[in-house]
Amino acid sequence: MPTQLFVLVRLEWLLRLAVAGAFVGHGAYGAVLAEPSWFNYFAALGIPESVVTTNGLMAIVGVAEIAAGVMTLVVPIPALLVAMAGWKIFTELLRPIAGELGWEFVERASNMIAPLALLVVNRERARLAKRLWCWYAIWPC
Amino acid sequence: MAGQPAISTRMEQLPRTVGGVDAGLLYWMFRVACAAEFIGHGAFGIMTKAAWVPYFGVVGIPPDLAWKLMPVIGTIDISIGLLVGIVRPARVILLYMAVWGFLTATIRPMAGEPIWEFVERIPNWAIPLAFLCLRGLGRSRHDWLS
Repeated sequence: MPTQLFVLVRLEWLLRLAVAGAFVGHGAYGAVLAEPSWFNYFAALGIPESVVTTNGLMAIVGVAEIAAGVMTLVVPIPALLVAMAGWKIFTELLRPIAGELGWEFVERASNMIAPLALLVVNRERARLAKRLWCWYAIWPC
Repeated sequence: MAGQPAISTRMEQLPRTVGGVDAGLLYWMFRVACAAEFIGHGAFGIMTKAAWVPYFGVVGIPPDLAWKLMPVIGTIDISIGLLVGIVRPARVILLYMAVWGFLTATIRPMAGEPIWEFVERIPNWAIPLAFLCLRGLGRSRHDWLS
C-alpha cells in the first residue's frame, strides 16, 4: 500500500507542476506581455479592444490565472481545480472561435485535462491515506 | 463456471489495476491528452508553420531544410499520437513523448521567444511523464514495448 501512495504522490506533484505551468505561463501573456492576439479572443466574446484596454481586462485575467496556478502548486483545492478545468476548456475553445485553426484546441488537450487528472489523483490519495490511517490507528475507524 | 477464471484473468489485465491503484479513469485521461497533444502538434508540422523555422535554426538547420523537415516531424508526431490513442500506450513511446515534449518546449525560449512559452508547455512533457509514472517503469525490454 505505501508503494501505491508513493505513486500517487509522484503523480500529484507532476500534475501540480503541469497545472501551475499551464496557468502561470498563459497568465503571463496577459499580465506581463499584454499579448495583442488576446484582443481577438475578447472580440470573439463581443468585447471590443477599447473596453479591454480601458478596464485592464487582459491584466485582470492574466493575474487571476497566475494566482490560480500558484495556488494549485501550494494547495490544490478541488473546487478550484474544477473551475480551472472549465476555464481552460472555455479559453482554448476561444481560439477556433476567434478564427484560429481547430488544431490549436486539440494540441492543448494536456492543459485542459491536467486539472481534472489532479482532481482524480487527490481523491485517490485521500482515500488511500484514510485506509492507511485506519490500518495503523489503535481505535476503530 | 468454466469461463470464470478467464474473466478474472482479463480483469487483472485491465488498466484499472495499473500500479495497484484505481487508475482506469486516469489511464484514459492521460491517453487522450497524450494522443491529442501529439496529433494537434503534428498537424501544424504537416501544414508547415513559419514560426517553427527559428526552432530549427537553434540546432543549426537552415530554413530551406526546415520547411522540408516540418511535414516529416508532423507525420511522426501524428503517428505517435495515433499509436498511443488507438493502438497501445507503450512505455517506450511515453518516454519518447516526455523527452520530445520537453525538447520542443525548451527550444522556444532558446529561439528568442519569452520564457513563458516554456512554462505554459510544462504539461506537454509532464503529462506523458505522469502516464509513464502511472504505468510504472518496465523491468524488461518486453515491458517497455508492451
